[in-house]
Amino acid sequence: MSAPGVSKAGPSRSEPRGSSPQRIVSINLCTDELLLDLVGPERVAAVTKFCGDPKVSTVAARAGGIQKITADIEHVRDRDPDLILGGRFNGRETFRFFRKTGVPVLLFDVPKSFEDIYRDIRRLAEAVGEPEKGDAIIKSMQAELAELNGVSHRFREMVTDPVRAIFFQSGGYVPGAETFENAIMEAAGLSNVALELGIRGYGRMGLEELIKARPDVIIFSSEQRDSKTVRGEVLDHPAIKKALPRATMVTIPTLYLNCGSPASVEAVRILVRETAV
Amino acid sequence: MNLIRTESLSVSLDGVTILDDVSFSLAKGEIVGLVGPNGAGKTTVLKTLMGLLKAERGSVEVFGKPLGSFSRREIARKLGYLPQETEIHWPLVVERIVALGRVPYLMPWEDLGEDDERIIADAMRATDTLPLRKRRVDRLAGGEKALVMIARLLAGEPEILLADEPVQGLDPSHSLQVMEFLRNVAGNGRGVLVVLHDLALASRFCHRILLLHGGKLMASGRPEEVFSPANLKTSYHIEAKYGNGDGFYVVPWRRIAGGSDHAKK
Amino acid sequence: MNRSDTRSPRPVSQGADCHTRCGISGDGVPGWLLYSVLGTLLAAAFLGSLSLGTLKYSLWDAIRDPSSDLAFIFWDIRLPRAVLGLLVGATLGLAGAAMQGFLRNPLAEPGILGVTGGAALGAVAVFYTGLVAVFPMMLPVGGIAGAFVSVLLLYLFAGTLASVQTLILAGVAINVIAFAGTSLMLNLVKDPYAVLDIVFWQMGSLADRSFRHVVLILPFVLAGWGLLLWDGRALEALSLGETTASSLGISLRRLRARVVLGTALAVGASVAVCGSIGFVGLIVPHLMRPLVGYRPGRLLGASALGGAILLLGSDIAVRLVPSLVELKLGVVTSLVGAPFFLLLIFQMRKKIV
Repeated sequence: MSAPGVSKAGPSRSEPRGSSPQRIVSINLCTDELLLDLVGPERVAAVTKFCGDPKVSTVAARAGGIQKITADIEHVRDRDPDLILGGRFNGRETFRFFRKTGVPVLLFDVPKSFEDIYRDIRRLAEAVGEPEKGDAIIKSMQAELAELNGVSHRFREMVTDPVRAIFFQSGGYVPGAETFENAIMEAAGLSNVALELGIRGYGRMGLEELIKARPDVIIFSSEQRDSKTVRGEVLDHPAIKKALPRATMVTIPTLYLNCGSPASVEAVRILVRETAV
Repeated sequence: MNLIRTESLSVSLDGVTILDDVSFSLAKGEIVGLVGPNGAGKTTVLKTLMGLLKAERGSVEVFGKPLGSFSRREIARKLGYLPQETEIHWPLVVERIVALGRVPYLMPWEDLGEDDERIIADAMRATDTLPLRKRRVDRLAGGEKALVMIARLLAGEPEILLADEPVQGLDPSHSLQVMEFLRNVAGNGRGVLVVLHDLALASRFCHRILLLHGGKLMASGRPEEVFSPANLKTSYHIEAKYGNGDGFYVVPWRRIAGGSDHAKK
Repeated sequence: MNRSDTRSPRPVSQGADCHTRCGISGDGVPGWLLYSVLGTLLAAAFLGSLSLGTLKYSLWDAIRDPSSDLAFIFWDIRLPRAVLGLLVGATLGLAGAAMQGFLRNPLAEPGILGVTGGAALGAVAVFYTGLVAVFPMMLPVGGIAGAFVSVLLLYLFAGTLASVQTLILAGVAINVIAFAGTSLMLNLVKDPYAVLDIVFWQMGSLADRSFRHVVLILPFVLAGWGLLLWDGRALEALSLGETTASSLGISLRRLRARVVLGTALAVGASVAVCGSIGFVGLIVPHLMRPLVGYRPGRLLGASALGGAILLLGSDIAVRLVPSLVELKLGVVTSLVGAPFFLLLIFQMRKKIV
């Protein structure tokens, strides 16, 4: 079985190495973000429609002059790509088509840790011929995280007990081990309550379970907290404030949670700012 | 004293004229038979008197006042209607069915009072249905069911009874029982208008007969007047035999050709 | 030849033979006995609902001292949930009994006949078009509007004296329309989580509701109850058919308006807050009918109580399952209700033939 993200294909379609594609097409928001961190807009033939929306894309400012397309074959072919980037789940037909025509296709999984992000950045940097730039980005992220880690570490030394946090999502879902949200929480020096309960991946907690766990910090995703959805109503339940009056409520803009990218450091920064000061 | 009086009553349904210029009256103490071939409009007469259908032309007066001046509940209290087909949708016990006759007297939140219970019991007693009171109505025989329906009618204490073919499908004994009962009811100061197909019964029990034919009132008067050979020939296309045992009676005897559809065989 | 009972093959309510075997007289169980038993069961279910959950607290303390530490468990979590269970359960039982009395058909109930589906569509539409942000009351109003349209459509398709087949088909048609509407909305809505949201909505739940929800629907539910309970006597008169009922002074037009409006108000608001919960309105009247002597009027109150008991009981069952598997209330009622429904149809086929 091939490694995750490597395009499965015939002999001549391995990952381009040392080449410098000039007409890169990305059909996934997360690859949009990684791409625009690594190359200038003149080398990008197309990105997704979401890329230019500042409410969901962290690189919206840079997406100005770039063509926005949907992921279907016609539109992608129109752009005459020499490299296609995408996520694993959307656009399978498109990927199959272009592999057949010999255009390199690179797929990326959802990252579960910052290590995964670093690996993705390295892969993409190699593919677009910017390995140094990729390394620079990674180093910068690592430096910021180390600094934030220092801050939270000092805080934790003052406080005897670990700061216990839970990420409460719509419908009562909580991210446990091996989730991106967990990685962010750990990077911010928080102890994920879901791990105490042995939750791997996304588990569920009822309102009373949440209260019983007595977390010090409750984290919300801004889109879920603010927008009106049926399952989101529990996030605003009056009992939470009454039961846990001293808990810190942190709302992270969903923007920083959508994708694993350099901008994810911002999520860690927000957490540290709200909980370790 | 006239309980009911209609004057040039005309009723149409979906553009088709069912009743045309029908005028008659019903007096206290009378039992009047409403007869006529199928489709003559007999059920329509009863429904109009009950306020269930609107008259296009003409008038209906009840107790000397126009029908329209009464509220729905007042009509329900003064007139009782027994439709042709018995619909019973739930297997209630007899007592409950009869109790439904009290509906026009109760507000939605009220329960049956002592007076109501007494009236219900009286109605059942009068129709010989008291022993059946706790029996489920869907388990009764046809004759018993018919009497229960009449008891329901009676429980409403109406001054005018409108019965549409109350003896349909009943055996001779029960038919006679029902007709005797209706005549007694009339005799007690009420008025009864009953639709009948059985001309023998009609002639035997009714004080007067209204013969309806094609929506028009062909004849009205005492049975011996209305059931003349000419009238029977024109309306029913039949010939009858007459008798005068204990009173006048008529027995349909033979079909005859009176129009284009019946050929004499 | 006996005078025929009905104009068309009409399914006489089931349980007919079983209750005589059980020794209940044709006229049912005496009122005082029935209501005291139902009342006790309801109190037990209500108390059970208040006592069940992960967090432990003292019920007595919480009531006595609302400001005490753990009182919020009672006032903010348990009590709203129990009250909602009572309101919604009673609504479903009552609406089922009213529809069955009005349509003279023991298979009628808001879920099967599409009223619940229409209400759910209305509520979800209000959510996703953003109307709910304008005014919180828009949510139950949306549910009521959806329910109202469904009942009207039902009446249009089936009329009042429809056969079993016609009625069920009408319900299927309305459910299909509601489903189509929901699918359309899913297509148009930008929120990627909308699909999940709506799917879970369809399954019904009382979990994590607060008093906000109770207050939101209370006026509508009470108004609906008022309109439906008013019809007891009219429905009894309707036992003898529309013509006789009219002759007894019942205005069929006004009765229909009250049943339609009452059902729409109570069921619409309930669904708006708790999602689609079906079959309660089918099971409860069926069980209660022999106990009230088959009288459609008495059935209303008994079904309201029975519905509340059934729903609170189902909610208790939901909570006995560990919460990592979020068992939905509507799923539980369907698991019980669907086989029940099939059994009913099966019995009726035999009787009609």
